[in-house]
Amino acid sequence: MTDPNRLPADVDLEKASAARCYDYYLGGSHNFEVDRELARKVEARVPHVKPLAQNNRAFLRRAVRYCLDRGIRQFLDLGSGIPTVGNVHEIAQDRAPEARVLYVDNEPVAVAHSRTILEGNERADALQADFDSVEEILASEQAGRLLDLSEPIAVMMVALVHFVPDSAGPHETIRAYHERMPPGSYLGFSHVTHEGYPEFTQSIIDLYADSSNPVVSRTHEEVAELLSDFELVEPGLVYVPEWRPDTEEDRWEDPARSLVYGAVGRKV
Amino acid sequence: MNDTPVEEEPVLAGAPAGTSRQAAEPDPLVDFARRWSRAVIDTSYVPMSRPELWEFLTERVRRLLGTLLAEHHDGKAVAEVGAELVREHVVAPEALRRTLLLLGSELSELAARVEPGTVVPAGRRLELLASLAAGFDGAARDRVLAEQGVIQRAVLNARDAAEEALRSSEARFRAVFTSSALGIAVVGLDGVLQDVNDSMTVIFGVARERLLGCHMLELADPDWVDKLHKSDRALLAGATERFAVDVRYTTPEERTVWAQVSGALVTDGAGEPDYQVVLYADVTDRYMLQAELRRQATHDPLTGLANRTLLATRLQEALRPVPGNRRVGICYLDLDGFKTINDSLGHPIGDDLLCAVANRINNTATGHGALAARMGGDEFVVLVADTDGPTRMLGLVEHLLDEIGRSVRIGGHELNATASAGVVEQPVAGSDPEQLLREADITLYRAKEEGRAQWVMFDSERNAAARRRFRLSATMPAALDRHEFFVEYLPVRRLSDGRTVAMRADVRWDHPEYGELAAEQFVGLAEDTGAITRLNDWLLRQACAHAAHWVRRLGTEAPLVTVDLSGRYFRDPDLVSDFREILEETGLPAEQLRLAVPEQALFDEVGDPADTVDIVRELGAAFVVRDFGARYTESRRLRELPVTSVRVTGEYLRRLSEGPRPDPLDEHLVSSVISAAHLLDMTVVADGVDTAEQARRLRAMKVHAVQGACAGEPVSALEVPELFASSG
Repeated sequence: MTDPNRLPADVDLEKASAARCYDYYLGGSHNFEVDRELARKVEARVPHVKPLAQNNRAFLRRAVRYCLDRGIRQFLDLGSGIPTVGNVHEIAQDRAPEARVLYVDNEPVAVAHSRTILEGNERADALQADFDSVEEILASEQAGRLLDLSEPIAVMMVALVHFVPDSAGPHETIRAYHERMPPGSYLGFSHVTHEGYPEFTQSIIDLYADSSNPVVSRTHEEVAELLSDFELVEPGLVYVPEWRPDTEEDRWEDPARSLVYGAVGRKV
Repeated sequence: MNDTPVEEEPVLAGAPAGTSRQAAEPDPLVDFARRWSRAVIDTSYVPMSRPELWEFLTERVRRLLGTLLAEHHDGKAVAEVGAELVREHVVAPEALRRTLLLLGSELSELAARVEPGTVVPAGRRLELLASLAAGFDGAARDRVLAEQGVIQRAVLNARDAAEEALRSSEARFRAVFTSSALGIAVVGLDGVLQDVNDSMTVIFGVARERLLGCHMLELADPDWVDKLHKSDRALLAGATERFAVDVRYTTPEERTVWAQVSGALVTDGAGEPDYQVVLYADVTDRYMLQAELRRQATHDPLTGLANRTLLATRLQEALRPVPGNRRVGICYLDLDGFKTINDSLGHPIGDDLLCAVANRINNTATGHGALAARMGGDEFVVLVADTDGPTRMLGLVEHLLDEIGRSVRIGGHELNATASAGVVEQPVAGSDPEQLLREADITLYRAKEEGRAQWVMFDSERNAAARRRFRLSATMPAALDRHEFFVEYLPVRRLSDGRTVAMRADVRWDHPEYGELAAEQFVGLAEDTGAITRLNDWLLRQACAHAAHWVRRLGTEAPLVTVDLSGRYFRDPDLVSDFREILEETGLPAEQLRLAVPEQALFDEVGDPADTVDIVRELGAAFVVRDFGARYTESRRLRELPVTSVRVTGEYLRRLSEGPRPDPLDEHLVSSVISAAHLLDMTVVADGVDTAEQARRLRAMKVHAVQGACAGEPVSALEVPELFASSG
């Protein structure tokens, strides 16, 4: 977006947005017919897409709370999307009102939406930037105001990196964040995989291909490689329902149906 | 629904601390809340953990039971529970359906367990469900509308932000666009100019309206179109991100414009090429300067003709070995008598004449497809890189000489210049550039010698002698440095007593290639090339040093020394100081020195004695007139000068000794010269006297002294004192 040869991106409502579909799966109404159309198509092919999305959202909640319990009071939520129900600043500031949150997304509507929601909240803001613009993000006015990189921080990349193709060098970007995170910081991470139910995942890939956010699936090994700079906390990289469920009832009979791996890593 | 989460009644190993007030006894309310949780938890995302939801719903069950057990139905309180569900994001219609099913079928039973004996009338139960549904639906409707409102506002804000960014970006671009000294054009993907700034109209000298709609390629001069097209194609194809090429343009007023053209592609939001921005930097001045510098490096500043450098390059190219019998021609031209014009009319006129001649040479040469170059001074070379034999070449040469010969009017003077030409025309094979130029130069020299305003064709045999002269004159300065010259002395014998009274210095050249050379083989040449000044200076220095040595050895017995100087050297203004310095340095008494010069050298242009004469007189040296009698009628002017003797030489002297009696005419001529000399109070020295008979007859005619074979063989300077020691 800082490429001077490119005019500012227009707001394109012709194409479905992954963020607004996600909101729909969670039961939100921050979406348009074009989004719901895609979401319903996905639901027809992946009937449990709503519980799947909700599970991923619940993973975010558990990951944020995990970090809060370890004293983290600042969050950088990358690819935050529409900060619909159960977003990071609500989770964090509910427990620790002094917690600070910076949301980053490259989609102008998501950012505008975040700003609308965050009006009056001095400890949270939203920034429009690309995931790989590490320096731009960390040098931004908002980061200067909200984040203190001499203190441990939690960086959230939940349901984000499966929108980043290998050609964009996701590992290098993650490493760049890792370098800037002080020791004792955490990374919250989840990612779609095709290993358990390739047909479901393929349906999602196919359907999202024409959206603003095409999906790239990765194997357990590939995802683990992306996280190799971090020390993963128990239970490591697992299907999200398996990651520290609140109750035994929250475990899935077949966790692989969640299609999403999750992990929290610690920078040593 | 719910095919994924574990279905069976959860067996909790222990409720998470602080999330449930549940004791070991299963509380029927809590148990109910858990089942309610399970019914709704997957219908939408509820932003709390399952135990938190249990707690939340336990409280709602308690309130609903309270309402149910109250005397009257409290619709508002029940509706509030419905609204609270929505507020905690239990929002799906499916959640409401399951909630109503659960409450409708089991709430009465729960009431009975909590308050044993209670019977809830069916009407009250329905009223509760209806109120709950209404509260839920109203809140859900509000929530949907609120969320739609938020997302719509977000879209508007995002659009505003994007438009604002676009506007400020456009404003920035517009400011750069209008104020830039660079020409800026917005060019479509089809190459058509869609917008241009004011600088464009200045650079191209064309109104804005005429530029718009033009194709960017159609502006460029034809020879530059391809280059620009290629660069632009690469840009449009995405092969390059930007290009920069120098392109030449011609304005409608025929002005040449050099522009550094750079282009960049602008993409739209989706990354697709949208249009190009093309910048035109006017670099005409830089280009003109470079072109001028290039031209200056290869052209003569006065005449604008090619200079030696360019000629050398072209000659090299012309002589590049190629198959076939190609021939090359060189014409070396030199204006006749240019120095006279320069000296008499002044340099500005001389320069104008050179320019006029250069112009004619250039026009003629160009007409024949040849290159004209100025070598310096009044020398020009015409190179024909591809001749077809001597005939055509000589045609060009004659044409050149004719053109140069046409009278030219300069500053009120009608000048008739002529030129001489040395021409070489030969096969390319075996020619080398330096040799070719040298041969042409030598041939030119011969043309000059054989009379002017004509050409001479190079002929290798006839040129051998000329080349030798050329070599001698070219190597003379270096030979002086290498001490290849030496001095011999010819005795001058007085006829009255047979004593040697003087030694005549005779310069010789020990040439490494041609052997020992006598003065007459190179002195004339030295006079032509100007090397005579150094040569005479050297000779004078040597002779004085030698003579001083004799004086030191022989005292009053020492012979005079006679040094032959060229007229040109004698009139050199530097001679006066040189002369003084030489005498001082060598310590030779001036009266021991005789300078032998041509008569003409003693006088300046108007016939007065030259300044040098007075100096020589003042110092005490004297002159010998070398060619006495050549200008008989003017001889009287010698009367006042420090001339002690005259030298006579020539065929008639030799003939005096031939036959039993001398020819009366010869005798008369010699006697006349001698008489004239005596009348002027000068002694006579005869040169080239080889026999005793000659000497005898000359003595009878009152010749004072002789030199030649009969006076003695030439000796070196060191031998002179011995000569006197033996004779004395």
